[in-house]
Amino acid sequence: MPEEQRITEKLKALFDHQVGDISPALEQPARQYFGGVHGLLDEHELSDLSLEVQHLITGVLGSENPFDRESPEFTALESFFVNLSRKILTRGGDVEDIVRYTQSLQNTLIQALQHESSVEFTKSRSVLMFFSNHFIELILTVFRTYLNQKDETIRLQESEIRETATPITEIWDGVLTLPIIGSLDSNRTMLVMDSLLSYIAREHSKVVVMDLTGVSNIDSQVSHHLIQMVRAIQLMGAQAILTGIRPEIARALTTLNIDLGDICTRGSLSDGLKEAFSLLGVQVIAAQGSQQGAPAH
Amino acid sequence: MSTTSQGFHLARFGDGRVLVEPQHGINPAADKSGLAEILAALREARAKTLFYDLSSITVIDAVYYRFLNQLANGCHALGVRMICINMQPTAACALAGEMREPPRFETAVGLEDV
Repeated sequence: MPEEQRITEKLKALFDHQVGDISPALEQPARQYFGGVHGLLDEHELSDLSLEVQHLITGVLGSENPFDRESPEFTALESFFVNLSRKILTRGGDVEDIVRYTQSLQNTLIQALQHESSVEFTKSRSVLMFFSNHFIELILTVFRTYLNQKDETIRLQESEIRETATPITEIWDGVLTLPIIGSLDSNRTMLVMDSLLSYIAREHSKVVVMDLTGVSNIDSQVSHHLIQMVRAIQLMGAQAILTGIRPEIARALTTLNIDLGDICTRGSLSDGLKEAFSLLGVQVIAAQGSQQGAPAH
Repeated sequence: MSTTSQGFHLARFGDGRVLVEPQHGINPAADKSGLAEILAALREARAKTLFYDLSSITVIDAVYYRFLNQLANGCHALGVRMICINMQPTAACALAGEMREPPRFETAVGLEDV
């Protein structure tokens, strides 16, 4: 609960003042930062925005305790700034413009109230402090909304990257390929393992070829995850083949004392597929009349 | 042959094949007599292959894993091949991270895949 201010004469005058139509004045900051060349809000929206701001600020000033930043009136004002920030950010606006708008709105509001009531609010330290405390909170609300929106964007992008970075493809009846690109952390391993094992259970896949051509470096944790994935595939009753291990990865595995002795490995994805076909008893032969090995045209 | 004992359902099918289905909520590791009963049933049925169905087991902890390995050792002594089938992805995932030694039993995705 914030420390409450002493109610001075100017503050009393402010709270008792019946706010008239100050929306044209309040429209100026919105027009400056969101209208015109910015093209973030149209004329209709600028007008509505100012009327709503006026209504909400009047509500706070006339509330039972105007200092209370947990009151329904102040909460409504905060919600308004959350929605405004979302709208401006979604339309390509900058958080800096919203903050500048909020600061400008504070100054314009005090001047408009002074002009309307003829009380010198701009020279009252208590009135300035009252508005300053409230508007600092509103600026924090703007930043929180901005950060939440950023977090959400990052979360969605990460999710998209994860899904596209680990495509599980059934390349043949019962044969899955899983190219692994980049590094394997615990989260990604669990995600890949979850979808891979579910796929095996659902489709009764027999062989999984995991291609590591896209893995440029490996540490003990990553190699542990890799072996865990192979073991889980084997426990499900399928067979795992590791392909495309680069020489530097092989050297790193040796340095880390990781033994892949009981895991089937092949040099390339092509060799891995041949091994998978061999395990299934499938033989790929050239069709009669085809020119195997003929140069491509 | 189709019997239910110590929380297990045993069914004989085909030539020397026995299917064991642990019933839901049973912890076979808690009762050592379960292991002996399965081995006795395998002997009686002159089984060649034991299929242990894990479809109702969502978590295989260290105790359950030890039980499966003990059963596999027992099967080996009797000359019976033990194959665990229908292991759940959640169980495989957790067990792969926990196990310190390879399983003594074979695995298959399902009965039809053997």
